[in-house]
Amino acid sequence: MNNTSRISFWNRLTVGTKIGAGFALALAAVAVIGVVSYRSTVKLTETADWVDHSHKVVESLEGVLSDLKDAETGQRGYLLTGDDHYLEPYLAAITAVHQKIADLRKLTPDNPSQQRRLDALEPLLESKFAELKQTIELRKDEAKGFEAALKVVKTDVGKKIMDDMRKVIGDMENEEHGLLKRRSDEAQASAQNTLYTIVIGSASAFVFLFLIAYFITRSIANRLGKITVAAEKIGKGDLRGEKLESGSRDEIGQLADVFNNMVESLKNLTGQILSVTGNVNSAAQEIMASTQQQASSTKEQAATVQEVTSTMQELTQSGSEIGDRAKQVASAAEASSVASRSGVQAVQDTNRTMEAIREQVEEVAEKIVALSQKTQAIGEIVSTVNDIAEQSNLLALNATIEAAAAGDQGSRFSVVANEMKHLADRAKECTVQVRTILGDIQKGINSSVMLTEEGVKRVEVGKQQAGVTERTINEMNSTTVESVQAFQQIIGASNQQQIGFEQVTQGMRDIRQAAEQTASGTSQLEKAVSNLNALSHQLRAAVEQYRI
Amino acid sequence: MSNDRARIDWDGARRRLQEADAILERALVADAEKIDRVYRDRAAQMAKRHMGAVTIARSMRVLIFSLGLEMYGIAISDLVEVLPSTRCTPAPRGAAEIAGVINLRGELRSVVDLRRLLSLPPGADEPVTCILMLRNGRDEVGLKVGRVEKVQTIREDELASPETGGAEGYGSYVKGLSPDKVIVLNTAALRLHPAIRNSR
Repeated sequence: MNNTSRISFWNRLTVGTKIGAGFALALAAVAVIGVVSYRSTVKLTETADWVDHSHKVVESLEGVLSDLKDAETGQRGYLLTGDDHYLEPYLAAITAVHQKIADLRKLTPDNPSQQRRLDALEPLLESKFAELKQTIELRKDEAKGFEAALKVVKTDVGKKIMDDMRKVIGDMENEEHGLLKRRSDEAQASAQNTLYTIVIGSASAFVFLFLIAYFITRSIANRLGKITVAAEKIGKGDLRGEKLESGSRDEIGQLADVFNNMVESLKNLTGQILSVTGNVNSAAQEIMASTQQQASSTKEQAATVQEVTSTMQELTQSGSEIGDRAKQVASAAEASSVASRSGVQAVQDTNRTMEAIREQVEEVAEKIVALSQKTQAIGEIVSTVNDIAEQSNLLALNATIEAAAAGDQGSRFSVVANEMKHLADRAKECTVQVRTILGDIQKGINSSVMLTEEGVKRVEVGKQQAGVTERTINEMNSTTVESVQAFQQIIGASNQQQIGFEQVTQGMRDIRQAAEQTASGTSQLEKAVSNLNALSHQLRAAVEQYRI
Repeated sequence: MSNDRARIDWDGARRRLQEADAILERALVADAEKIDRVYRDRAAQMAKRHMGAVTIARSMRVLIFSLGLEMYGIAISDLVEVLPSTRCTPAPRGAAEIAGVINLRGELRSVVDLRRLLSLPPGADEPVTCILMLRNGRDEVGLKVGRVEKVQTIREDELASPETGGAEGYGSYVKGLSPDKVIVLNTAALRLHPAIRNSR
């Protein structure tokens, strides 16, 4: 129970976290070891400084003693010789001793016992230097100076002071030597500790890191091995394996999930590829068929291009004929323009002639009307004659009646009356004939007047038509001029058309070459399609290796 | 058509005009041929025998006139004279058959409309109307008729009987129908008509 929960906790961590945690532990161990080493090294360095310091103090103390001996040596020399240049070591020692005492004070400010000893040393120094100075001063008297100085020396005051000082300096040296020994021991112990820390820490870090690496490697490698086995099966085309357990949510688990999805997709894909391969097979067949169709249609196209080329040559021929005809028509249209100008002139002449005709016809109408008036006069005369004939008729009748009333005596008179009646009847018949003729004449006159009126109207209409004709001819003339321009444009266009026809013919040749290339390409395409067919069969065989 | 009319034969026209002038000249001037023809006509005329000279038994001379579409005849022995058409003054209190009165040489004469008198349907007005003055005893009465044609001699035995076709009253005024389809009026019966009898 505890074990499984630990594993599940372990499995919840990602691989990156696991590796990161291992490296973090290693870094912590290295840091601990480094800190410990640093601290012990610093301590060793400090101890070494202190040892050096102690050596400096001891050296200064030895220097003080040496200087004191130099000063005493210089004094003894002067005392013995009285020569001033023996005083030089003495004078130099005084200055050097004071300097060394000051250095010592500076070197040992943290050590009160040494300071006290220095405090004790300084009066001794002063008294020693005072004794030396006294003797030197005494020796300066040439006469009895040596004696007096010797006497002072023989008092042994100076020696006693010197011994005291030796004792004080010896104490100080001893103390410094003790300090030195103690600090060396401390440094030794610190170095030992450091050594232990490094050895133990390194060993424990090594062990710990080895364990972590073992666990991480085991958790990654085992599961990757399972996935590898499954991938090997898939690589051999077997897609029927069981699903992998994801186990954990780390990258390997995600990889297992993705792998499962991949297998599923691969199954679908393989099925699709199988069906698509079938489709590719049939499509390759179709492409083969359409390629053969294309080959035959390419041959037809070549034949058609040949026909179009010959047609284009005919077109070129007819185009040049069109150009020639257009030139002829243009010259004819120019001639027509000239003719239409003379036509306008003729129409204007016709107009004037028609005006003259109208005037003459109106004059004719006037004359005819005058004739009609004369016919009226004749009619009146005829009417009078008719009246006379009527009266003569009645007169003859009355004469006949009178003759009848007269009986036999009136018979001859009756004959005369009868003759009278005959004459009257004939006169009346003549008037009737004259009237008929007059009516005909009047009708003729009326129709003549109407005809002349009609003629005048027609002349008017003719004038209007002549005007229309003139306008029409003018319009025709302008149209003809436009036509001339248009035909000149046609001639130019026909020339361009010839160029275009030649270009089209050239293009047709190019098309024929292209068709030939297409034919060769089509045969290559046929080969490629048969290859494709074989390839699709191979693909199908390859895909059928997959067992879903 | 107009083209044909436009091509008039001017020479022909001028020739026809000259011929017309010549004909007119000849018509107005008496030449030998014309005089000869006139002489022959006159000779033929003079050679004719007078109709009146031949006495035919039971014949009568009749003045023939039109009335409507029919031709009528009346004996000239009953007529005084023939007058040309005159405007008749309408007479007051006159009978329906009286057309009016006229002044003839200072005397007033009644004029009877023969169409109404014969009870004929009133047709269109006659183009020429004449007035026949009918002897009526010592008096005269006018008959308004159509156009007067001529005088003709008719044999009385050739007249057809009026009884064959005639309405009541109409037949009594008709003496008979000649072979020329002339209706010969009975003057004596006309005089008995009240309009004529009372018009004196």
